[in-house]
Amino acid sequence: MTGRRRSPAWIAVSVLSALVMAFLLAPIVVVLIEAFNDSELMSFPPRGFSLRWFQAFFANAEFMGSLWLSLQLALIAAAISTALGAMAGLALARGGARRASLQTVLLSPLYVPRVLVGLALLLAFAWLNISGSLLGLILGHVLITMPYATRTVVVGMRAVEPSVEEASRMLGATRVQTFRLVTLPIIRSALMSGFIFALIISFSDIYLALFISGPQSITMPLRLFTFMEWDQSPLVAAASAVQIVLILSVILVAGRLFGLSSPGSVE
Amino acid sequence: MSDESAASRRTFLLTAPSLLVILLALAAPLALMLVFSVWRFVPGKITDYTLTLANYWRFLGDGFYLKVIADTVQLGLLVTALSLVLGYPLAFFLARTKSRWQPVLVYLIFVPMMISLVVRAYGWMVLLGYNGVVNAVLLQLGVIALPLRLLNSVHAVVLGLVEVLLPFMVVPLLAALKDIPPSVEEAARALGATPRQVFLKVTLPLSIPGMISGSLMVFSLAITAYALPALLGGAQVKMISAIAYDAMLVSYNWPFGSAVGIIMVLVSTALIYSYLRSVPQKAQGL
Repeated sequence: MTGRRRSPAWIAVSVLSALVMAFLLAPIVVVLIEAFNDSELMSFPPRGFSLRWFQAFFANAEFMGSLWLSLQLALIAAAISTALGAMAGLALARGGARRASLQTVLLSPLYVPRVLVGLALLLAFAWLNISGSLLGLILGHVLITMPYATRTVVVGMRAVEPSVEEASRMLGATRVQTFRLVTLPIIRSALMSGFIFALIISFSDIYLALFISGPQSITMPLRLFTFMEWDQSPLVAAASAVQIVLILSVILVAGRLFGLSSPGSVE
Repeated sequence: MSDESAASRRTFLLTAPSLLVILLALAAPLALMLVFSVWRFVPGKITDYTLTLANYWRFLGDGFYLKVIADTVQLGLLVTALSLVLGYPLAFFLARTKSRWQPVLVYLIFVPMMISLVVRAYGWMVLLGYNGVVNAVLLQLGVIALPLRLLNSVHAVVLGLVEVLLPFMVVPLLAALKDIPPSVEEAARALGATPRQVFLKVTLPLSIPGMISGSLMVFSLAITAYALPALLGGAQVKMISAIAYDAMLVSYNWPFGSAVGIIMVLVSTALIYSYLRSVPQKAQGL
């Protein structure tokens, strides 16, 4: 075995993998470096170290408004999605005959390209004359984040032996008590994983924002998108770096607290 | 019997809220899109509700749009091929390495997927910009005398899309490679196959299902991309989704935008359906 693993072919595969990994992470790393650039325009290598673009970012009312909106939107959407997804996940885990087709329908928002979800919602909201409403944006975000919660709960429920629940029922617990005292503690980390993924998906979404945001509901990614089209100064890097750090810390903290299960995601 | 009906009532009650969201925010809007796609466009008032197939003929019959379709498919194929070529060695390494860092490396593949597309597009601007990383390195090495214009090109879009979609290729490949029992490869070796033969005659053929699922997913996401091509391709790259976006939000031709949308729905549904058929149930949705 060791001979095979030190073979030239294996070394080539390892080196190639390292390069591909670097390619995958390069855009994120350079953003983090560029954010500290002490220069008026985007440039590489950075001309000196400075925190001024972070100051500029946190002093920018438009960026702050969008950041705040995106955080609220993500929390609301993730809370609703986790509740709905958990219910659906429970049903799927214990469901009978039509389980497979029900699961396909419940996970379908994952399989429709995000651009088409945005396009269809734009048309529907415009037709109903409710374009640009915050409620519409929340509905859209619940739709795209719900399947993540559903899926993590379905997976989490595999750890719950039906016999354990039956035992609890037999000992006199009601269905609700059984859920609260037996099932819930076992699937708690699955629920939290679902919530975190929903949070991240909502916070990072650009497609729904592009199509259904109004002037009053410009999310952080959309603000960055419109800003970037005419200005690529290190201010954008600072704004991006803040988002990267926010997401990475959520992943790390959540992973520490209850161990995130595999995210597996579609855009 | 009554137990069973109680169970199915519970299933219904538990899934009803989710199904309602899917009905309101996905099924109904897509149905509306289908209806709009067969209504005639009237400038100024959007439609006069006359049935027509003109919107479809316009998209599928006009030379300009046919070129956009061809460009989109070509770009999708290129992105898929590159993702496969770059993703296979990485998936193979992750499937076979004995390193204790393996779980961390697998997790690192998921991290970019959680960072907004817009942030990563900016990363590519820093990499490929006039004063960017690639130009700085090439100038330093003396390969070029003046910075190259790398952004706002098809190349920039291809690079960006490969980076964004690579994880969707690696994940099914990794699953397929891990599913190959070590005993199969050992048996081939025991029977005298060289490592090269083992790979070409055993490992590679057995990983074809993973290659197919990954390619279907990457291709369907590449041909429906909008945000990344808009940011990295500028006016140079026009893809199908940009046609739909412009029709809806710029020229207010909702019937035409809907027809383009419906065509995209049909194509991506066919691709995703084959994708779901190609992956084993347990890996579904990954």
